[in-house]
Amino acid sequence: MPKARNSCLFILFLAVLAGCSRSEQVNRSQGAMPLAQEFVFGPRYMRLPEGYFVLVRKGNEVGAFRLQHVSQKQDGTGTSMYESFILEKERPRNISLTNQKSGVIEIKQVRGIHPFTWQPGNNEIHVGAWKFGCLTPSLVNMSSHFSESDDGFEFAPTAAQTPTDIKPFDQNLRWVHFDNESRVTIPITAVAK
Amino acid sequence: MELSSGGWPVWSGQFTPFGQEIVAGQVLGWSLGNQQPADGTNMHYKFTGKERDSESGLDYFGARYYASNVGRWISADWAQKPEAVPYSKLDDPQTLNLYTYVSNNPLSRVDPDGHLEAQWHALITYLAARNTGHGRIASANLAAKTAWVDFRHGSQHTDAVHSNWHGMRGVKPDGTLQSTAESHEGTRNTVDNAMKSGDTALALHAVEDSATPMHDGHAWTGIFSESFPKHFFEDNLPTPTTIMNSYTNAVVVLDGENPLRPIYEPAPPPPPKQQSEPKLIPRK
Repeated sequence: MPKARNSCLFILFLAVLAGCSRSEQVNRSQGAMPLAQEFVFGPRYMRLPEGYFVLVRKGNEVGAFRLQHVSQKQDGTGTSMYESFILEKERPRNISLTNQKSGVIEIKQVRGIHPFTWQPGNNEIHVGAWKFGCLTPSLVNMSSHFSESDDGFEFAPTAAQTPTDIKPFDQNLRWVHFDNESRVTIPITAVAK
Repeated sequence: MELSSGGWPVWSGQFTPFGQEIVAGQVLGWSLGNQQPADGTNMHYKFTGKERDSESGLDYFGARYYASNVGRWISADWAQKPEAVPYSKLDDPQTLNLYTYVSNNPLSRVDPDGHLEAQWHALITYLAARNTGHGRIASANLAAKTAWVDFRHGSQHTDAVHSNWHGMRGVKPDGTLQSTAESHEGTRNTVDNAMKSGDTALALHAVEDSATPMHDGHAWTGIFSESFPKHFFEDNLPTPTTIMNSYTNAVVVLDGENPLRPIYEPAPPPPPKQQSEPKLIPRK
């Protein structure tokens, strides 16, 4: 008898979980969020315009990545694609692109029931061995994964739209580091290739 | 405030931020051996609804006794896990003193650590409602509604509106993450709007969560984020100070005030009086 009662309670719990999970999937707002026309660094996350490479460095390693085909709704759900490289010095002025990666960022409605909610789909950008979490298809963490503290990464916006245009040693690059509170906005027209 | 069975107020007390009772505009002094409460009544439940011992004048908070006349606990703070200085932060010297009350900042009521899960929301709301004169059924109803805010549609989304329900940072309509100051403003406005619209449960939920710094300044990133285990366990095992701070915030809301205003931003100064326009003298 207690077994039957426990089974009933478990089935009831699953039903509630499924119901709440389904209710979380209902779309709230269908409006599209306008694409970013500038780089916004901070607080904690960076919002990137479509198609332009961002350099990332930590220690002696330098990488680059960009977002493409960004489609984002007002509620933060949507998709984008990314491609990334690790840049390796061969000679002082030349670089080679290695460890190329690409993937789809897919931010779906939150599922689950409090506190066991999760974001289905892929919400990480891989740059070499580094991983950066995304809250929306164009909002990328400036620290590894979804960390809330500074992991030592620095980012520089570029006007480069093809890998061959990237000049990682350009003196005009503006490197921005993780900041928990402040916001730095850099228009595309103001950045070096 | 104490109410009669008919719902009429029969006793109400005023206290300084550290708990000394104010009667007729004067702060009452306490001395050991004083057998009668100094306000001349038999009401023993005083500061934040805690029982005041008539002999010693100390308030009983469950884990420790508090001396409101000096604004200090009479015993050191303690933790379940053996620790030299529990709940301390080296960059905040106030936390190294195990006898101070809410880090000597009774108006901010922010606890050094902790969270609140639904059962804690329910318990804190129920006690706050009962101690502000609500009936048992009304208090239980409000407690259930406050706990249920965590399960409302969209409650766990990462946008700013829903994150501010829990005193957390969310994604703004412009696509960037809120700063801590912006989330404070958003949470404060959430409480204001909820109180205006009669959604007391949402206002209570927001102020109770706001007393927990693991919500304050943080963004919700779900069950697979690194911070989830800490978030989950601290939600279920809040510190006594977290519970007390949340309770105090809830009492303030039930008294019709927004407790986040003095924490996050001082009340705006009253608008300057407009100079009276020169009166036209009618031509005779």
